[in-house]
Amino acid sequence: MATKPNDYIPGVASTAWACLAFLYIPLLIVIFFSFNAGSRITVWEGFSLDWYHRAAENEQLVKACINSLIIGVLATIFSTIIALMTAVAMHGNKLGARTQSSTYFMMTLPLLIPEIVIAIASMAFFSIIGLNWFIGDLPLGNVLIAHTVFCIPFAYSPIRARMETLQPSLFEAAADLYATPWQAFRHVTLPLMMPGITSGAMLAFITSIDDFIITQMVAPPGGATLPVYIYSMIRRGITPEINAISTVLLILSIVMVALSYAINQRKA
Amino acid sequence: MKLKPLLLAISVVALLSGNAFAAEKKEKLFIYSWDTYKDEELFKRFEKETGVDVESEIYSSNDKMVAKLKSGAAYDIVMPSGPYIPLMAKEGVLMEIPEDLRKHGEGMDASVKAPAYDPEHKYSLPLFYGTTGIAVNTKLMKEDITSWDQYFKRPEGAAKNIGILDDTGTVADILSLYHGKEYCEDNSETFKTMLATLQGQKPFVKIATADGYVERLQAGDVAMQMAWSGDAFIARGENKDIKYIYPKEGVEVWIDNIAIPAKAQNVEAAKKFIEFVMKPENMAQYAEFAGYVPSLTAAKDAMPDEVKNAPEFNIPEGTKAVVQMTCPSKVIKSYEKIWEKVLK
Amino acid sequence: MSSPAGKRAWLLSPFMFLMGVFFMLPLVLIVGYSFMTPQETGGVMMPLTFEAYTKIFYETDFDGKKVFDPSFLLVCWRSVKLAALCTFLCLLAGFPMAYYMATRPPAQRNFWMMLVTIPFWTNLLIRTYAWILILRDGGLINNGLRGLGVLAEDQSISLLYTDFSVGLGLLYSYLPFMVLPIYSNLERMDWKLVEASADLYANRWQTLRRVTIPLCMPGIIAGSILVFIPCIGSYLAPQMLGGATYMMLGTKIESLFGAAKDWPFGSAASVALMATVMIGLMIMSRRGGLKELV
Repeated sequence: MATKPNDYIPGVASTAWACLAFLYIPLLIVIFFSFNAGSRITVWEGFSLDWYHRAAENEQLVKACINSLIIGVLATIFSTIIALMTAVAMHGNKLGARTQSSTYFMMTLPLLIPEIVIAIASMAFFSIIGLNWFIGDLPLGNVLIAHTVFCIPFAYSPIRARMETLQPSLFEAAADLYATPWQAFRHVTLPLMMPGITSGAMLAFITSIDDFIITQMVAPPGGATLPVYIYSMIRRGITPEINAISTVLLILSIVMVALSYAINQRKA
Repeated sequence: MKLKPLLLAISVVALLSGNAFAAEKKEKLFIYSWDTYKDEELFKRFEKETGVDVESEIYSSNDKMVAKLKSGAAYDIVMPSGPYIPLMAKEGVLMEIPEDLRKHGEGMDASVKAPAYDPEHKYSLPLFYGTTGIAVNTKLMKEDITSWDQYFKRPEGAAKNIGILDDTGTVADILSLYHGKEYCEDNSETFKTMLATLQGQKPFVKIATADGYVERLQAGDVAMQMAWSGDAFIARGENKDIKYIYPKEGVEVWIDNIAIPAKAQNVEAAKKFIEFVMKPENMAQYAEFAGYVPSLTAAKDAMPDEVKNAPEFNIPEGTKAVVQMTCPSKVIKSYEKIWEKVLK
Repeated sequence: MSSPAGKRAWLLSPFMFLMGVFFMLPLVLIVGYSFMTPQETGGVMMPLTFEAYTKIFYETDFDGKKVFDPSFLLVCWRSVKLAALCTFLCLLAGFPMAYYMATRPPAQRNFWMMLVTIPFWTNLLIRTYAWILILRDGGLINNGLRGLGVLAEDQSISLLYTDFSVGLGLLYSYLPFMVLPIYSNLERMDWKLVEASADLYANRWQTLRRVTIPLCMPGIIAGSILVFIPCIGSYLAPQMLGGATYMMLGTKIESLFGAAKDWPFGSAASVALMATVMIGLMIMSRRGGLKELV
C-alpha cells in the first residue's frame, strides 16, 4: 500500500518472490516428470500418461494412499473436536491458574519435543501395551492414536486464535435469552468459530498426511501410509508413479484450498 | 448448514472404510522382506494359486528388521541373513520351521545345504546367496579396479565419489578380508587397524548408507561402491557402465533365508508361501528378480542362460570367497563401535 | 459462557486423557529406559544403571578401558550449529517474505497465505527427493550447466551429499514455519506506530529496527522455535541429502534404536536432546514468544 510511506523496504519484494519460487521449484519438477514417457526421472523422453495408469494399477500404492486418507480424515476429525473442546474450556481464563497453565503446557509440548524422540517413545510404548486394533480390517489403530495426539496442537492454534476474537458478552447474551449451553454453543459459538475450525482442521490434516517418522515407527504390518510406502521405494529409486500420485493429490488439495479460499473471500 | 464440511468428511470416511468392510475378509500373509526382494509379480502369482492375500513390507538392514520384530510387529515371513539366525533364535523372535518343510534343504547347492549357523534348518531355509564386492561405474572411474586396496586406499587428490554400505557386519567382513584376518577376530589391534582404514578412506566417501544405493549407482552419483552382487546386477540392467568386481583379496559370501517370526499370525499361510517359493520354477523367477543365486540347484538350472552365466552369479575360479559367520556379541559390539566412530 | 468451572473442566478430559496416556507416558517410559541395561538385539532389561548416561561422555575403548570420548558431544555440537545456522537463514529469508505479505492489501494477503501453504500438501519426502533430482551430479543443475557449456561433459559440481545440500533441505522444509508466525504477528501489528515513527522523522531502516522488529519479536521467537526444534532433531534431510557420512542427533538416536541396538543410550540421548531444547526454551520464553506457538 503506497499510502504508507515507511513500510516499503527495498529488497523485500524480490526476497518474497524468490522464496516463493524456492518453495515451488520441487513441486514443478514433480509435476513435470509425472508426464514423462521414460522411467529415468531426470531425462525428458516425451509426453505420456503412462505413469498415471501404472499408479492406479499399483495396488500397494493405492492402498497406502487410502490408509493415508483414512488416517488423515479421522485424525483431523478427532483432533479438531478435542482441540475445540479444549479451546472452549480454556476461553476466558475461568479454569483456575493451575489447570489453565498445565493444559497450556501439555498443548505446547508436542511442538517442543523433536519428532524423532516422540517417534521412538511411541514405538517403545506401543510395543509394550501391544495394542493392535483395526479400523475396518486395517490395522491402523496405533497410527490413528499417534496422529490424533500430535495433530491436536496444530488444530488448536487457529481455533484458539479465533476464540480470542470473540467477546464473552456474546455468550452471556445467549444465556440471557435462555439458551441452554448446548444451544448457545450450536447457534452462537460454532458458527462464529467456523473459520478457525476450518483452518485448524486443514493444518491437522496436512500434518497427518505428511508425517513419516512417527508413522514409520508405530505402523504395524499392513499399516503403511503413503510416506512410509514412498520411503520404502527409495533404495531402488522412486518411480514416476509416485510423481503421478503426488500430482493427483496436489491438484485435489489445490482445489480444496482454493474452494475454501473462495468461500472465505465471498464471506469477507 | 455449518456442519456440512464435518458431515462430508464423516461420509467420506464411512465410504472409505465401507469399502474396506466390503472387501471380503481374505486370509492374509504379511511378508517382511529385504527391499530388493519385493517381487510383486511373484507375490501376485502366489495370491492367485492359494487365494491368500499378500501384504509385503520391506527393510533395508537386518538390524532394522530385528528391531521391528522386537517392537511387536507381527509378520508371517521374514528373510534374515545367516549370522542373524542364531541371534534371533536366542532372543526368541523366530519360530521353528515345521518338520515337513526342512526336507527342502536336501535339494540345495552344496554351499548352503547345511550352513554353519543353522545346519539342520531348525529356524531357517536358505533362499538366495550372493557376494559382497565392488560395483564400479567404468565411465566415471578411470582406474582399473581389481582390489579392496584400491577401494580403501585412495590416492592423494582423488575425487570424493565412493559409496559404502552401512551394514556393520558386512563392512567388518570386508575389512577382515582386506587385512588378511579371519572373520570375527577378537583382537583390539585388529579393530584399531580396521578403524584406521575406514578413517583413512572417509575423506573420499560420498555416501555411507545402503538406502537408495542401487539408484545412485545407476544415476552415476558414485564411481565406486561396496555392493551386493544382485544389486550390481540390477544396476547393470539400467546402466551398462556398471561392472561388478571380485577384488583379489576375496569376497564375502552371505546367505539370506526364509524364516517364520515367533509372533506370526498366519503360520499356515507362511507354510504355503515357503512351499511355493521352494518350487524350482518359482525360486528361479524370484532369484532373477533379486539378482542372486537361488539356493536350490534345480532353480539355478531353470534360470535363463544369460542370467545364470552373468558375472554377478558366478564367483571366478580362484577367488577367495568366505561365508559370513555369527560373531560373538563382544566382537559385534566392537564392529558397531568402529562404525559409530567413523561416522562421529 | 457462564457455566461453572466444573462443567468446563470436563471438556478438557479427552485432551488430558489422550495426552496423558499416549504422549506423557511414552516420554516417561523413555526416561525409565535410559536407566536400564541394553539387550543384545535391542530392547532393555534389568538391572537399573547410570551406564547409559556415562556413555554421553565416556566410552569403553577396544582394550576395555574407559576413556573420555567427545564424539557424542561432537554430534550434539554439530546439530546445534546446523540448526542455529538454518534458523538464522530461515529468519533472513522468512522475515522479508512475511513483511511483504503483511504489507499487501488484505485480499492479496489471503492469496499469499494460500501460496505458502500449498507446497505442504505434497509429501515432504517427495519434495526432498525432487531436490535430489535437481542437485545430483547427473541432475538438472549440472545437466543445465553442461548444456550451456559452462561445464565440460565429464565435469560436475558436487552439490548433493554435502553440507550445502543438507542446509538447503532444512531451509526448504522449515521456511514456512518461520514465515507464518511472523506474518500473523505483523498482520496484527498496529501499523499506525510505523506511521508515527515516520512522522517523527525516522527513516525506514530506523523504523524497521526500532519499531517493527521489536513489535514482532514474539512472532520471530515463535518462528525460530518452530524451525530450530525440528532442525536439531532432523532425520530425513541428513539421511537423504547428506549422504549419512556424519551423524546428527536425529540420525544418531535413530541408529541407537536401530543398527546400534542400544536402547538405553538412545533413550539417554533423547533425554539429553529434550533437556537441551527445554533449556533453550526457558531462555527464550523469558523474552515472550512461547505464547505465539499455539
